Amino acid sequence: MVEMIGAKALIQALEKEGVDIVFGLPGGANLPIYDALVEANFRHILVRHEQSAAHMADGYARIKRKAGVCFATSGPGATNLITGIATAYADSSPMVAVTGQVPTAMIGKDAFQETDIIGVANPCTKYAFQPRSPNEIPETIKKAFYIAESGRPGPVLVDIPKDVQQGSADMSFPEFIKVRGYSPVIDADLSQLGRAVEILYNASGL
Amino acid sequence: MAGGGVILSGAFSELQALAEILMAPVVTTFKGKGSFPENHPLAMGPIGMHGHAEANKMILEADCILAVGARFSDRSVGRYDEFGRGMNIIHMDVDPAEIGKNKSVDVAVVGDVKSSLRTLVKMLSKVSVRRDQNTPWLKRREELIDHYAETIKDYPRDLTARKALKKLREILPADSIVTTEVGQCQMWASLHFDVITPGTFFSSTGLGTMGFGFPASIGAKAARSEVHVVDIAGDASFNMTENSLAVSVLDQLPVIVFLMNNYMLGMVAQWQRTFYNRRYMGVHQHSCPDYAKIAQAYGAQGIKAQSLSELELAVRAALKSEIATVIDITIDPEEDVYPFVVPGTGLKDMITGS
Repeated sequence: MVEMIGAKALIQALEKEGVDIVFGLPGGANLPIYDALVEANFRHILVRHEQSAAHMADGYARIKRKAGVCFATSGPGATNLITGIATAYADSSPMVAVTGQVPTAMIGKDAFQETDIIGVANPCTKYAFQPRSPNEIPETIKKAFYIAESGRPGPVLVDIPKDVQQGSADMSFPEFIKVRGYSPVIDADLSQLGRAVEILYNASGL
Repeated sequence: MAGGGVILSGAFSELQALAEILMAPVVTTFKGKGSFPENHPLAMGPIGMHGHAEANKMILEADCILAVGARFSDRSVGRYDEFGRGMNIIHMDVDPAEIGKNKSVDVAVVGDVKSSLRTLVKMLSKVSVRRDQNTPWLKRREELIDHYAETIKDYPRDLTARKALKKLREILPADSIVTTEVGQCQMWASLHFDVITPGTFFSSTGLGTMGFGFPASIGAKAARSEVHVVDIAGDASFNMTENSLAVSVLDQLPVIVFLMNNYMLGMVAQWQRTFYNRRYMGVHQHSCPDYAKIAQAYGAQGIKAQSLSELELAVRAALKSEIATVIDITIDPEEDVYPFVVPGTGLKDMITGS
């Protein structure tokens, strides 16, 4: 257990996932993340519009066959990401999108640059998380990468309220993770493969 | 029939091994383009709305379809009720939700397609079904390719999308990565740009997001800086995310934008020509902006190409350049994409434009 703020824990969790580049654009609600990014050991690419951040993360992911990462602030920053997230979802591209959110006490009050990005993202992501306390961040990021990259890949959104980025907690970073109710099948049923062999063998020309 | 799942799981060698054991022709979906080398003697290219004519025809003649990591999208199969009728269909996919979603199948193999293909190859090798090289499918493939080479509408101009893309393929190293924008440019890329090295072609195939190709090419360059990366683009689509030129220049991620420019929302214009009796509305971009100057304004290289020879010089200059290059290629706004399987019709109803 190490005490640190949520934003710092996010950066460390990304480093532990082997992230070497993120594409993003800062704003009011993700400033603590950008402050922590100053000491990150990975590269940050400043985009000119968040849609492109998501497409860049997608392009990166398709080559590397591991999750691309993009950052945006709350409200318009997050909604600008959505076209890129939906694109990744339609093409099964692994992605972890991290958005800033207004502080938890302001959620639901139509605060400045507030949008219900979880609600917006639900139909075009594999999963959308919103950690409500800083110590949830390491496990949330671990789960986000696991879900994005396993089974049929796809985008996962992690929406972090500003106070959760700023708050301090004892952090533990899990090495392995299980997600209840989610277990992608890797090895196919041999009897089905046997039936496939039979059909292919009997197909004309063999 | 190889879909995007082959690319996602990197099952290129497994797919090729299986095809060669069965000596079976390989069609791909558009998302699966580049899952199988398109210069392979068994390669048919993509099926679908703007698929290769020979692929669309060949799959109608199959006895059995083995769909690998594909989801039978409407754009690929035309009509669900017609596609694969009377054939045995085997569906391999990692996502159990895809089984029976769009198409009922005879056998479902749920699991990682790389692992499934590997097991299938082992099982088939045991029953030893390697066919000789004279399978009738190879002959049929040649017949179909020759037939459609003369049937699909072509345009006599010196510089057409087809000729431009063939020239690009000729010059570009095989391991280069290609992304595409969305619209006519994307479908021309599918038809006329053969992917030689598997896993080097990426497009927004499902959502069809205009503006995808250029930022995706920058992301690809960040992932693999040692190879050339080209965005096969159209003007309207590039327009949507062209401000990423700043990223390409400042972050030293030089890519090539191969901009086939007809100053039109070309695919929409084609549909208005085909289905709305040329009543154009909302498709003309009126020579605005000047894309070479846009590139220069961001500190990138901008070159205009109005003939095939100018295009060749431009591509060679771009390949040597250490900054991003936008090649603004003049394309006739009347040039349509053929073949065309009109929405709501089946692959058998494909029109050739001639």
